[in-house]
Amino acid sequence: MTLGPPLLSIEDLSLDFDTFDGALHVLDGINLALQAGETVGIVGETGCGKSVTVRSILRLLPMPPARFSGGSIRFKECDLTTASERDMRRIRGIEIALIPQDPMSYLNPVFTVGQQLTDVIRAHRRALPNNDRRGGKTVRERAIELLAQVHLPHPEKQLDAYPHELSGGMRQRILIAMALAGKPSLLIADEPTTALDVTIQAQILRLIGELVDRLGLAVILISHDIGVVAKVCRRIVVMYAGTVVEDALVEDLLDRPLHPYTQGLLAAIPRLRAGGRCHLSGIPGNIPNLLAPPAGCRFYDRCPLRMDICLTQKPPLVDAGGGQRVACHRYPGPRQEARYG
Amino acid sequence: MKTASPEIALAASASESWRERHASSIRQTRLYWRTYRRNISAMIGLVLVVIFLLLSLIGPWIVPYPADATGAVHMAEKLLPPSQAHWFGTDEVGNDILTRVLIGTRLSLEIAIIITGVATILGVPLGILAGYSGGWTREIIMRVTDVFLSVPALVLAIAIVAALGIGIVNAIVALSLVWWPGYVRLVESKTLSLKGEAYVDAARLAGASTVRILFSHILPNCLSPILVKASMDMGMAILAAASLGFIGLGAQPPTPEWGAMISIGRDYLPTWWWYVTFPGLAIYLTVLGFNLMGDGLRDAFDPKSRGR
Amino acid sequence: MADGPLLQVKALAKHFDIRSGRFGKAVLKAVDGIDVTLQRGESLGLVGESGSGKSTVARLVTGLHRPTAGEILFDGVPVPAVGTRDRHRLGRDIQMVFQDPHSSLNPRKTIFGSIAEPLTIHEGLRGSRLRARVEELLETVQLDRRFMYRFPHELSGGQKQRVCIARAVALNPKLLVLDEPTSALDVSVQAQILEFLRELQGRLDLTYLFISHNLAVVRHVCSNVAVMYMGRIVEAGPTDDVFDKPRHPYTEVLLASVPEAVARQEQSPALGGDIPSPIALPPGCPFNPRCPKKIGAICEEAEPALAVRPDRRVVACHLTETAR
Repeated sequence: MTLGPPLLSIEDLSLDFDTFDGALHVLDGINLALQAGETVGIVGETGCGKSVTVRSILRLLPMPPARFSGGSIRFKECDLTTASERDMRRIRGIEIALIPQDPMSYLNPVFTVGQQLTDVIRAHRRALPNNDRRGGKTVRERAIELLAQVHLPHPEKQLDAYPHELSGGMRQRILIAMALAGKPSLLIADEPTTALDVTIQAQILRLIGELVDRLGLAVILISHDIGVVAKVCRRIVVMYAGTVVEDALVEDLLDRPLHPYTQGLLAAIPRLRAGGRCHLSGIPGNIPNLLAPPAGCRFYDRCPLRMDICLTQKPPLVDAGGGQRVACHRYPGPRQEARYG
Repeated sequence: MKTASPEIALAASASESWRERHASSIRQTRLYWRTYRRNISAMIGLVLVVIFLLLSLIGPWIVPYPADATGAVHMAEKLLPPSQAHWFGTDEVGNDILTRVLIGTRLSLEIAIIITGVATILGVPLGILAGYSGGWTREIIMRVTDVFLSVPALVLAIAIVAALGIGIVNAIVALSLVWWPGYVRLVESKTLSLKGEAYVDAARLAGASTVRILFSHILPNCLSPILVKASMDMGMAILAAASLGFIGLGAQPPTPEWGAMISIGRDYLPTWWWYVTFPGLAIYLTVLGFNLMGDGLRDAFDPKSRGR
Repeated sequence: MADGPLLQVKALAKHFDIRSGRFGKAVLKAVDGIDVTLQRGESLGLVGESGSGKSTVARLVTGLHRPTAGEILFDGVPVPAVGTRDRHRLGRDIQMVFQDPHSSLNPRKTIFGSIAEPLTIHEGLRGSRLRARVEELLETVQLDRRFMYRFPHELSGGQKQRVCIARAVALNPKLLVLDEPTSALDVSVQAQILEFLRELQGRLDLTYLFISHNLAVVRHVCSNVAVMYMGRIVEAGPTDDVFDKPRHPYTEVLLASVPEAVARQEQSPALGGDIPSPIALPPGCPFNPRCPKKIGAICEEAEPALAVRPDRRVVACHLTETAR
C-alpha cells in the first residue's frame, strides 16, 4: 500500500504523571499513525489512557505534573512534544480540533452561542492573519455557515440562544461547529456521544461521518463503546493500561480479534441482535498499578493465554498479517516499523 | 475462607483486632496529615496554635509574677521598659506585662471555645433541620438567620452587651448569639446537596428514620466544612472579644484580657510602646495561627489538592 | 401468598409542578398513565431515553415518590410512601439498586456499616450475629471479607455495585428494582455484574424491575420489556419478540439507532428532531412530530390507547389499530 507520509504519527510515546506517591506511568510506548482523511477509533476501558493520549497530542494536559518520558508525536513534520507554546496555539483548534464529551461544561452559560462561536472564529483569524481561510466572509456569515454545516435548524436564530436553552444534541452540534471553525485537518472526538441519548447519538455519528466524507477530515474517535467506533471509523485501536494492544481495520478486528484482551472485551458485550442471552464473560481482575507496572506485558495478570515470556518481556506491536497489528507474544510477527505503511 | 461451624466462624471474626477494623480510618487520617504537612503556611499555623494551647494550659504555673495577674499594685515599678526582670515591661500599676499576657492566653482560649462551641451547638442542628426539612421549617429558620446576618456582627454584639450590661461574661453571651447564624448558612447548603445523594435514598428505603438519617448520613458528611470554619472562628472569636474589650465593653480591669490591655495601653503611646505592642502581638499571632490552620485544613480536606 | 401478580401498576402518573419561563408555572408530566404487571420470578426491563420517565417509575414503585394518580399494588396491597409505618414493613419486600455506585454508598461509612444498616433497623441484629450476617452477604456477592472495614473510595466501581446489591438483598426482598445498575461501569465489569444478577435471581427467587437505556443489556437480563416514551408505555411484551419484531415506530427507530459491535452495519435512517421537552408535550400521540410512519391527522389529535394483542404484546399506535 503506497501512501504518503502520515498526517499524524505517534511513535513510542511514553508519558508519566508525577504524583505525591511517585510517577504514574500512564502511557508506555504508544504507536499510532493516521493518514489524511482516515478515521481511527480508540477503544478501551477506564485507565487505558485513551483520553490522555489525545490530550497529549494537543498538549492539553497540565505539564507538570504530566511529563513526556519518551517518544514523539509528529504532525505535519512538527514534533508536538517539543513544539513551543506559540506553535501549539497555531495548531490547537486550527489544525487539530477537539470535540469533548460533555457539551454543557464546554459552553459558557453566560454568553450566547453566537458570541462563543464568533469568539472562536475571530481567535483563529487572529492566529493566522495572513492566510486565505477567510474566504471574504464576515465573522457572522461564517458563524451561520458553520451552524448550517452541522445541520442546526434556523442558524440565524440560534446565534442568540443561550446554551441552557438548547438540547444536548444541539449543544454538541455547536461544539462541532466550533471545532470546524479553524478548518482543521484532524478532528479528535473524545467520547462525543456518551452523554447523549441513543437516537440523538445516531444523529451525531451520522453528522461526523458526513463531515468526514465532505471535508476530507481525518478523525480520531474515542469511545468505550465499540459499536460507536464501528459505525464511524475505518480502523480501531484497542488500548489497555497505557499500551496499544491491537490496531486493525474494523472488519478484521471484529471478525478475528487477535489479542486476548480484545477477545475478552468482545465477549463481554451484550448483543442486541443475533439472538442474545448467551453467557457474557467478564475479564476478572483489575488494571495493574501504574506506579509500579509490570516489566512484561501489562495484561499478564488477567490474560487467559499468558506464557512465561509475557511476564518478563513487553510484547512489541507487530504486523500479524494483512495490516492487523497486535502486541502479544502469541503473534511473533515481523517487527513493525515505526512508520506506517 | 471456609469455616467448619458457625461458632468457629464467629470466633474468627471476633478476632479481628481494633486495628484491622479501623485500618482504613487510620490510613485516611494519615493521608490527611501528609497532605496537611506539605503545606508550609498550614504548619506555621499549627505551630502557633500549639504554642497558644500549651501556654494557656501551663501559663499559670510558669508566670514570673503570679500576683500581677489579679491586679496587685506596685507603683514603684510602673511603666518600666522590657528588661531581664520584666521581659515585656510593666504597665501603669507596675504589673508585669508578660504575666498578664500569659494569663490572658488562657482567658482567650476559654472565650474562643465557648463562643465557637455555642455557635456550633446552636447553628449546626438548625442548619441540618432547615436543609433537610424544607418547606416552612426551612423558611422560618433561614429568615431568622437572615435577620441576624443582616446586622453587622460587632454592632449587634455591642447592642446586646449594652442591654445586658458590661462585662466579659455578657460579651461572650453577645458574641455567641451573633455567631451561630454563620453555621446555619453553611450547614444548610451542605445538607441540601447531601439530601439528594443516592445513599440517603437507600437509607430511606432501608427504613431509616429521619433522626437516623440526619445523624448517621448527613451530619458526618458535613463535618469537614464545619471543622474548617470552627478552627478559623476560634481566632476570629478572640479578635471579636478583644475588640469588645478594646472599646471597654468586654473584660474589665483588672482582668488581663488582651483587648482590654490594649485599650488602656493606647493612652501610653508612643513613649511606653511596650504596653500595647505585646498584647497586640499576642492577638495577631494567635488569630494568624488559627487562620492558617483553618486554611490548611480546608486544603487537606479538598480532594483536588491531594495526590499532587 | 397471593396467586396474582407480584406487582401491579394501574394508570400511574407523576406530575411535578415546576417554574417555567420567567413567572409561569408548568406541569412536568414525568409519568403519564402507565399500566404494568409483573409476575413473580419475572424480570421486566423498562427502556427509554431521557424524559421517558423510567427512573421516575422506579422511584414510584419503591415508594420514594408519591404518585399523583393511579395505584401501585404489591402482592395485592397498595404501596404506601416511604417514611410511613406501613412502608416500613414493605422495606423487606421491595428494595432498590441505584445507578451511580459512587454516590450510592455513604463515603463516611465503612462497607460493613452500609450493609449492616437495613439489618440493624429491621432485624435488630447486633454484635457478632450482625457481623456474621454481613459476612454471609459479602460472600453472596462474591466479595472478600477483607473489604468489610474499608471505605467506599477504596473499592472499584464494580465492587461498590456488588456492595449495593448486598445491601439491597440483605432483607431478602421479593422485588428488586435496579435503576441502570451497570451504566457507570466498564464493559468487562458490567458483564460480570449482569451474569451475577442473572444467577442471583434464580438463587434468591427474586423478581426484577430493570431500568436501562441500554437495549442490549435489557435483552440479556430481562424476559419482558416495556418501551417508554415521554412518560408513556408505547410497546411491551416478551423481550425477544419486541426486539426482533417491533410494532411501534419508536421501538423500530430505537433499535435501529443502537450501534452494534459488528462490521459492515447498514447506515440506518437516523431519527430527526430532538427529544421534546416533557413540559410542552404535543397533543395526540407524543411521538407524532418525529414519527417516520405517521398516518395523518389522527396521530396529532388522538392519543393511541395501549392495546393488548393476542401474543401478549401491547402496543400504543394508531398504525396497528388501523391495521387490524
